[in-house]
Amino acid sequence: MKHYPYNYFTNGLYIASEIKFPELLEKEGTPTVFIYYGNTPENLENPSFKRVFHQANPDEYLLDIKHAARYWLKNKNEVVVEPYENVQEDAVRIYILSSIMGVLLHKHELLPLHSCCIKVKDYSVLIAGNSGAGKSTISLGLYRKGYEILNDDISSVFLNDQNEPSVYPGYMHLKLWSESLEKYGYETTDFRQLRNEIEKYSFPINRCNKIEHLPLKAVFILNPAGNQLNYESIVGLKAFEALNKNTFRRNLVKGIGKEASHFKLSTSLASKIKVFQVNRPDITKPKDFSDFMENLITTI
Amino acid sequence: MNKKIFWLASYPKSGNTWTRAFLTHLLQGDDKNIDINNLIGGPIASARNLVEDYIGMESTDFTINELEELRPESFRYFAEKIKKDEWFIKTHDAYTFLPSGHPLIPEDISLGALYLVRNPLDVSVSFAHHNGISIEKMIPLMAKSSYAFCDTSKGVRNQLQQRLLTWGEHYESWTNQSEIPVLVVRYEDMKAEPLTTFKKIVAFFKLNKSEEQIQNALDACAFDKLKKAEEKDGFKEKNKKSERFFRKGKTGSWKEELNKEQINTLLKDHKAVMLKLNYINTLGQPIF
Amino acid sequence: MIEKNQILYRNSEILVNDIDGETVMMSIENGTYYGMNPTGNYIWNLLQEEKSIEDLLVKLANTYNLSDDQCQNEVLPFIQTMIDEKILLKKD
Repeated sequence: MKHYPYNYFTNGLYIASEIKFPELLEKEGTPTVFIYYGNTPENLENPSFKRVFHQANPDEYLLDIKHAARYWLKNKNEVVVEPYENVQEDAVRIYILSSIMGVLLHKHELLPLHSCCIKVKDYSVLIAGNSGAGKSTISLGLYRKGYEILNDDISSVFLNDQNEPSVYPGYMHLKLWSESLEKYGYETTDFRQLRNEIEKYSFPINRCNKIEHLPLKAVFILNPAGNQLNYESIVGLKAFEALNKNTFRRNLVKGIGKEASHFKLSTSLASKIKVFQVNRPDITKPKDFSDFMENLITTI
Repeated sequence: MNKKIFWLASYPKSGNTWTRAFLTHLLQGDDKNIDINNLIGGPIASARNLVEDYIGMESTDFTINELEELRPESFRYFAEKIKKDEWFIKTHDAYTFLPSGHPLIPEDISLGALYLVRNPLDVSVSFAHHNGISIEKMIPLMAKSSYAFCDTSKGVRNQLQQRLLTWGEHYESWTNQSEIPVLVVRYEDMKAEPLTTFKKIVAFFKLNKSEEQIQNALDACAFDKLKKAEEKDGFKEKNKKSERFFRKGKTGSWKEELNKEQINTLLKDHKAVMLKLNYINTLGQPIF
Repeated sequence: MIEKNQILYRNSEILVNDIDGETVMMSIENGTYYGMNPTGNYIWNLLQEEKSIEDLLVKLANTYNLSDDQCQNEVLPFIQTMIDEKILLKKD
């Protein structure tokens, strides 16, 4: 019987792991996902999806990153990790927390939205957008105003027993580029750098970890363009389209055979959550944007 | 896969967008107004999403070098999806080699490259405006071999690193290679003799178009029309630091904007290639 | 041109759901999403059991008070599109 030294609860999954993840909440429970070191295949048999770094079939997912590790999702419960030689430990973790987590969530019929999650009183909101749109940066701004950050990068959304959209808490850090840290007056030397040649750092988040999940009220999609700082409501099919665009690893859903459950969940959510596009001109000062977003998330 | 890509290559501010507008009208337009945000030749070769489409995941956890190594395959992936016999990709990249030794621009998908070039005296003014910096700061950058666009590792940019080399090295990198046939066209000739010059371009692309069609396309893309279009719709390729993309478009406006010292520096920095291209005479005096 | 006595039935590879009163469909096969207007929705609902095109046209004409012309020039092409996109399938 394998012994797993680390036990976590993140994004709705209880994980037993041989790898330590400082970004995750330590919690005992009945694990549904096991992460361990082992041998991985070079290729999958009969892949229904294949690209240079990853491939998938309805049962398995294989991710091969030469500066980190080869990761094999044997099934929806087991992640086998085979690190390459002389790689940075942080690099091995990065991909588990991104691609692997995205696939796991789809396989467990949760919806991973590419977004940060902010707790506002008794509900939560998501701040979504493309890489570089400024999700983590604005989350840092709101954190500094006293709001709890429930997730960074991948927020795990589902329908609870009352069929209401809800979100599970996840990562306890914000991944920030040096540009963003410097905007708020931080020194990058105070933080753990995620990869040696990339100026991205892990900014630890403190929060109260008693809540299992929280109702989700709205999704704000950042659009770093436009002439004016404003927002607009998106409804119906357009809302559905927007959520799809911001779904993490949307392109893998078919290859892993989860089209039907993904469709059902994402269409149901599109009717029940408010979706907004937030237009943010490039010249907007960080403080003005923080104030604007604070007002928005507290008054919807 | 057959060769099917023509590269629209140039140092920045040298007539690339004008050429794209012309091609768009020639191949797709009739009497419609062109959408300047949807010109043929896009996305630019350095667009991050070209690589992200190819790898099927985000690119923000990869280093600048790792992403660069992926670019030639991303061009092949893009080219594979093109149904036509020939298509175009705009680029400001100099013709360079990756750390692994392969050329950035894959020869096996390339039919040729149209290399557009413009008097560096005018380029310095236009480029300074585009970057939102002084001409004083721009001039040494044009003479720096290591000058590159979007080469920061401190944040995410929409485009990947593009190595420009110096203005002269940029020209020589494209014209000294023998993998891909190149047609060099000067911006000044496009302005002075548009019909003759664009006919040469159309012939190089082996496009079957009449003189009348070419003239119509030229008329539709007159500079003031492009300027108006930008005023109305905005131009997504405009640098955020500059006020407008389509500014003056003239030949020789450097005479009003550069001082004696700046002119001398530019002439000194780029003498050899300016002579080759007849931008200066054998006495070193500017012709345009 | 399609025969009016052609029997049509639903493609079971199509997923359907409702978003705020708008119907969205997805083809698992080609991954395409379709926003369905009320007419399309109505036709889809009519095809809980297979029917001929003639049957569909008659029901639509009655419900929406359509002329023969409208059936021929508007509804029939729309049904053809649903067949082209493999939302509806032809029974041999």
